[in-house]
Amino acid sequence: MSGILYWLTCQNSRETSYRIKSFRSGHLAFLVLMIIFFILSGTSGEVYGQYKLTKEYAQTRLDGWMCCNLDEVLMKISGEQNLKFKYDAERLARIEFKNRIINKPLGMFLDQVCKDNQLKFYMSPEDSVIHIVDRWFTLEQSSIQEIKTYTGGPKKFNFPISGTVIDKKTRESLPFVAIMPVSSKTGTTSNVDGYFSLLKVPTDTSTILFSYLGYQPKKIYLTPDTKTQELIIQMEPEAIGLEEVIVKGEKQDILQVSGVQTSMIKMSPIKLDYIPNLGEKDMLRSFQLMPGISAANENSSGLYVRGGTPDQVLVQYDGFTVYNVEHMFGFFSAFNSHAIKDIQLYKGGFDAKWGGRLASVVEITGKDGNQKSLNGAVDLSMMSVSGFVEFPVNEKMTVTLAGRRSWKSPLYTKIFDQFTEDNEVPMGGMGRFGQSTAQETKSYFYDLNGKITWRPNDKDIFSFSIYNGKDDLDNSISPQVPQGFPGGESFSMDMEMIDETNWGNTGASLKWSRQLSERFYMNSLLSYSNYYSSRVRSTSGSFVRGDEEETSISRGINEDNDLKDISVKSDFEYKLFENQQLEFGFQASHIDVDYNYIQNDTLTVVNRTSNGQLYSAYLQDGISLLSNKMVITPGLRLNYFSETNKFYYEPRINMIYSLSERFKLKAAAGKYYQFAKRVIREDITQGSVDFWVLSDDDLLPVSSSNQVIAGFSYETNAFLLDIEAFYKELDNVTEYSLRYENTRDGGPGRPNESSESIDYSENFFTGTGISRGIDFLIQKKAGDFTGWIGYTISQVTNNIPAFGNYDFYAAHDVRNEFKTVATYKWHRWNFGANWIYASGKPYTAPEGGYQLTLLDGNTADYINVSVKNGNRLPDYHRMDVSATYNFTLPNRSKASLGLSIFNLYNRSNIWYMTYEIVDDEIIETPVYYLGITPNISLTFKLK
Amino acid sequence: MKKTGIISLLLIMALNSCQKLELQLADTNVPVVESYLQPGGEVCVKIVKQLVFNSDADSTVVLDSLLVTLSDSTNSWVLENTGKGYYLNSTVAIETGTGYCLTFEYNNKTVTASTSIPSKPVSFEASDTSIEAFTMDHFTLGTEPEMPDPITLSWSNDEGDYYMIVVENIENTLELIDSNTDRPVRKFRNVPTQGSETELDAQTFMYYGTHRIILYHLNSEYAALYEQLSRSSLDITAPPSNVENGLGIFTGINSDTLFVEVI
Repeated sequence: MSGILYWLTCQNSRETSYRIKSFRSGHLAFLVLMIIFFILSGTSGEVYGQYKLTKEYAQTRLDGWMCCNLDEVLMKISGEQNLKFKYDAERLARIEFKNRIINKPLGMFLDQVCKDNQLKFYMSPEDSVIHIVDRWFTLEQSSIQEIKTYTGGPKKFNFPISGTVIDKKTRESLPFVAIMPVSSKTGTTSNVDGYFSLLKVPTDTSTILFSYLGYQPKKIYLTPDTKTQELIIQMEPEAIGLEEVIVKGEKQDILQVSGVQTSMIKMSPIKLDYIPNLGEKDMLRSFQLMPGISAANENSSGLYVRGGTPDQVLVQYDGFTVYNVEHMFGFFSAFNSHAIKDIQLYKGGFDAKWGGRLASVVEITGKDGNQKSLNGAVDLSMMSVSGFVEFPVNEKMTVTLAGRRSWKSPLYTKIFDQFTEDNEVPMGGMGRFGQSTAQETKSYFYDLNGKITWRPNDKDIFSFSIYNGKDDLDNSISPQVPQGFPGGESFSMDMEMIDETNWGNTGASLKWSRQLSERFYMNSLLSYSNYYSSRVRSTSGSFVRGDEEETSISRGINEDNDLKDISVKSDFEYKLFENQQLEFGFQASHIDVDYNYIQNDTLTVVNRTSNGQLYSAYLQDGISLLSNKMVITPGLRLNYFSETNKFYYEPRINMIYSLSERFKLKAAAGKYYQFAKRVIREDITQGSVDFWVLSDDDLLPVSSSNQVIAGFSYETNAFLLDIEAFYKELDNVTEYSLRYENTRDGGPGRPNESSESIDYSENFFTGTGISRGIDFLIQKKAGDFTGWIGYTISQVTNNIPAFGNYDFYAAHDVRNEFKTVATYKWHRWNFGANWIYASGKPYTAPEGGYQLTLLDGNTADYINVSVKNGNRLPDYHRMDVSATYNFTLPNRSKASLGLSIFNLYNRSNIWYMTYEIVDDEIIETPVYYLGITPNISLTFKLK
Repeated sequence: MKKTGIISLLLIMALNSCQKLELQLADTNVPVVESYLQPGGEVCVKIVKQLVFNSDADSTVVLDSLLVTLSDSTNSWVLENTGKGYYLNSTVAIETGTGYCLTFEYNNKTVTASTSIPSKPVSFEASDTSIEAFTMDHFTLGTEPEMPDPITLSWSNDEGDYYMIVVENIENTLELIDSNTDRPVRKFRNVPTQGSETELDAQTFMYYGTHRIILYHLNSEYAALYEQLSRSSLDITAPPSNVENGLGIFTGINSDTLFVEVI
């Protein structure tokens, strides 16, 4: 095929001015972007890029009167100098050119012409054709050597290359692509913007392997003529079943354990079709199929990672923190898989770059949008309708929009009823009115994603990403009871029983990435995140008697939690030496958390308003040692938290040692602090309520953990064996007890409630915890049949002095958890199955009772409960299966029809127990998770 | 060999930690204590065994023959077992402001509980000495009933302590206000409050005649008895108790009394 191509990139000042003008009236965000860019353009003045005409060509002298358009000029030069040009004649014919050229080198001439006309040129050396193309033209895939054609010896050794990895079809940049010279032991990964820099390629005849989950691995064969900068590497997604031909390269599994980072898992959203789901393609739920992440939580799409709770997981979506990741009481995660490009999970031992959480990190990168043409898809499932659209606005700007909304399908109703089985509408007092109006519960969830990406030049990327999601449950009843009375006087009453629960997130980020040099990359981000939850259960209304004025009455509870996080941060990557990559950055966050609990519209039980600033800075250094056999990454994160007025140091270290190409040892250790934490008040009969609080120096001390992880992996092309052991000490673990909650039921002689004050601060209890275990994973990662077997043995214990002087099992402690996942591709079909087994979780049960005579002479019964979490529920297990058929519509759009069955053999897994005391006997009644649940989904894709 | 070594190392690391866990085992053989200490009152402690659910025992088992001692900072008294789980001592003069400790051995554990005697309520007053009964005469068809004025009870509570009102009809012959009342009560209470006043509405009284109103000054361990217990494994919590290695209540109380006439 064609030989090596050379690039020329022209800086074009007119292009810059035009863009500024056209966006001035636009959105404020863009204005900010433009100002930044304007400053940038004004100060840099750099002509970047490079070109390599052969010396002979570059020095070719031009002379004479050139007229009258570029097409004619190039034809003239071609004729006079015997040069071959290739260009869009129509376009160049429209470009006027009248000039007298005096002894000007060809290179300089082309440079000038391109600079003025938004063009660039390159030369293919084997046929010496000079191509003149639009400046946004990128190298076609075929233009990089994909088959080994060069047979000569190397000319250069240990030299750097850099470039960007993109999707061939959409031209979206691909983040976190693993890049490695085939003969070398260590490589690199592209950054979040797809940019990569390999500082030490062994020879200029090396082969470089690019691998990215969900994409066909790609090998690039270098030759001495290959350009070394601004390479554009295009990768193709794996075929999702439509192609009948055998796809080149190895197919990879949906989830992949990273070979370059301890405890890291990557997932490919485009392969979510392969595994069974419960009504929704759910990315976070897919992670629950890996060892170390608990799967026996049908009611939590939040992640319980290695003994941690979901609030200990930092979830970052395009740089902003998402504080609640759940829809529908936790059965589904809050992210629409259509909007997501990449997702990575660090199960522990994460880098100094991340902070503010004890357990793990989920990094989600949203889609930038198709740079080539309009694309879109629609998904219809038994739970929701979702869709997305992506398109280029122009050569520099792309847009992605995605949305999802639940609909009241039988599946939705089933899950809703499952959760709200006991959630009867409060009918207190209704009987008095003689009438009640049964009203159907209204409930829905939705989420929206939007992202605009703007690449004003080759060095800068600006993106604005926004997310908004909400769950709304309305159980309200509003009966009208008009009543007329004989005797002339009328009496009417309007009553309303309000029972509304809603929660949601809004997040946005404005990101600026700049390649400061080949070695130096910067990412700056301004982000906003808001999480709120609100619960109102009240009876309110008014009555009017005769001509009197309306009298209002109101009773109930009102509970609000609102968290706002405004952050600014900058991350820098600097390739210090060939074997050393520095990463450093800083972050400043303002976190504002309100929690408000009001009874009867007047009695404020809790009004906790706190806000604080968290300032962090970090530095870490990835060092390759022992001929790249070992990569060690020490790091330090320093935090200052205004609420406690203290500094917090977080030393971290991560290490990979390659005993051989296949066998790697891994280890990580670190200290982690958490400043904002979520406290859960489980309330099954009325819907679970949780609230975020900000740590302080008093009742809610800053939580911390010390972690050590060690393990190894043995990996062949087709198989992976990965074993990691972890040990984690937690300090200042907070639990919330229901003591003193809503207990002042006055009965006869109801006290004056306004004088009551209940100190909810007593309800926070802190202690320590220890989590330890081993994760085992055997994965067949390539071929038509892929899958894995995962097993975790672990133990999580807590010690909270207020509960007693003993250790107890944490509520999410699971001793053994076994998971197996299998996917099979057959012609147009994708089949998937998984089986999960988990030891029963601990729970606290009543063990006895007693009676006390109170001061009023009455007796009261008390139930004594067992040691906290001293009992175990039966083991949890279930199997899910799925089948997806991919087909093409007459208009060549792609479509797929999926059938998924959750809990295939209808196992009755126990969620929790309820108790009733009847005649001194305790009646224990289990509440079950979902039984067999089928789901059908239909997907249409434009491309 | 090398891999086996590594796996062994990981197993050792994960399964052996520096801290030895003391995971408490379930033990259902637990004593339940009930005792209220009041100045001027006799010391009386009742000790029974908790009734274990789904066990053979179908009634409460009392615990006799224990060596039960009461002590303050200087003295110690042995309580006399009078049978049926009761332990008494009439020689101890309970004093306001003094801390007391109850101790006995049971099931190889030392069961202890301590409390102090709160002060006598100060400035306990009622807004009136009588209240009009709420009868059917107050109802007129089509109109809102006119409520008799409530009685406001007030006391001094600068510290935000817990107080509780217990109201009891003390007439020898009971006369119901509304003969249709279903299961009338002679004695009623509010729940412990940290406020300094409460209102008694007319409709809470079910009988005519003299009512004794006792205002108890309480400790927090007694107020905790009014907590509501959950009935689900997700949030069930241990019952409130200030008895270590046991259950129940051992608390000091103090009181003042008023009388109100329902007419």
